[in-house]
Amino acid sequence: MSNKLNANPVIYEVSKNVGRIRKPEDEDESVADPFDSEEIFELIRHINDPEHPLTLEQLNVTQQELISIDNDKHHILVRFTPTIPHCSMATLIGLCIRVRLLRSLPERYKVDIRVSEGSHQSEHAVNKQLNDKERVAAALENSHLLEVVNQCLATTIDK
Amino acid sequence: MAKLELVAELTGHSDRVWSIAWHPTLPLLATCSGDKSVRIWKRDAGNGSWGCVSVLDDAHKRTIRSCAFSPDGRLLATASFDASTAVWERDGDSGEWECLATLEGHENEVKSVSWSASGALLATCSRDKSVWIWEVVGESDFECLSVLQEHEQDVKMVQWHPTEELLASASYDDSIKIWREDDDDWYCSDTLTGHTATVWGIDFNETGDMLASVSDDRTLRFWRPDTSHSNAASLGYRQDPRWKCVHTIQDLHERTIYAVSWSKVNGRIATAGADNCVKVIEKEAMTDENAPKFETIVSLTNAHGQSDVNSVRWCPLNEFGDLLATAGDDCVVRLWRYVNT
Repeated sequence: MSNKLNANPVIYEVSKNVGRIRKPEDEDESVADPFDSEEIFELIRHINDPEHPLTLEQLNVTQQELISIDNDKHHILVRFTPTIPHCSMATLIGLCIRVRLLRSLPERYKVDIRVSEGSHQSEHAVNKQLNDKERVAAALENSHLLEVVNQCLATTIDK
Repeated sequence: MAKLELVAELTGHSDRVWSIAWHPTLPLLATCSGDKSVRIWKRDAGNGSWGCVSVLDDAHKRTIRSCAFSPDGRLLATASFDASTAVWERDGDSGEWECLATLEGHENEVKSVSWSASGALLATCSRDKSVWIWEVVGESDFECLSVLQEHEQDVKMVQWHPTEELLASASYDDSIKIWREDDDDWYCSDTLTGHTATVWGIDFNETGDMLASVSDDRTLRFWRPDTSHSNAASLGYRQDPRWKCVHTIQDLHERTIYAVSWSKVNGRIATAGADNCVKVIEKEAMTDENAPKFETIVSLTNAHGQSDVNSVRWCPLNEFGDLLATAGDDCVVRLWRYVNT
């Protein structure tokens, strides 16, 4: 890709956390173990940007603070911030996050994915498309698109 | 108290079930799925149990999004993400379904298919923003009569009026459009605005003087043609009534509402959505037709475990008018009986 939309993105220092620090309650098999934002962030921070050989975390596209979880309602909201407001890759990035969570989380979780408020000029259109399950299902039957998504997710292989 | 009792659980699909169609004259239903197949399920006349009698899996290369029986029950149409619509014929003797025709023309995913009341017309709609009207010519030929391109976005569903040649379409552009024919010319006679997000499902009542719609905005809306203004005719304009929203139920579901079915047998309305719930709504008897009141009489949570419920359909047969079919992301189809104790 010679004509990148954002040729020189700002690169951020990534969290030193190499994986999750185990807490005492994690070891207790007798209590319910709901998801927290750290675990969800861990699933998506290593997704590769479609344009740059950098992760979404390095580009500050994903942040742990932008993830909220309601474990009672099995609801997860992930917001992300495209590097530039006219980023045409925003829908693809959102789709990568959706597919990653689709493949990793138990089916009972309902996931909403949105660009963070004011971060994209087509915010409403991007959000609408990312949360339309029919559009997402059709997109994932497109083998070319699925290949692109899988490439972005190749860096998230579970350890 | 009213409730829904589980009658049967139909398993066999290997991916999300998208849509359900009841046969117009037999205790039989078709379901279609992301597994690219249609399954036909029938009630055994002997012991009353339900089972799969046919699997139609050789016509579509991608998800089958919607299916519909012709009014005489002889044909089944299936709409697929592979951009085609297939028409299947049921062999009277063997009961087997064979693909009779494949309708091509849409640029991408076909999302819904519907037969007109007479069975002479078929409508399809697609992500390509268009609605196509097809005419049945002869035994196995279908001719495109019109391509209607007035929606600004994806068209999610088409539904013919129960008696007239009038079509309603619901869209990702948040609107519903009403289409009519005048001297072989199909035109949009009205655009119904009010929903604030994608309209996923629509259905007419038995007589067709009301339309129900459900949306990503989590409301159920009711529309009626307003026939009070008829001075347009004297000016030489078309005299089409405007459809007016006469009632809105806010926050009916907690997440997107995907489907609505209005029973032609008993007038009850059922809805289903991404909050895993199925609801039954009844119109209060003594209400003003222009300001009707509705009551939610059943609220069934986790109808398909913790999965989205994508489709809901009342059985059209008088004998089985209390049967409700639902389909979910759990790959399962369930049959429920509405009981009021």
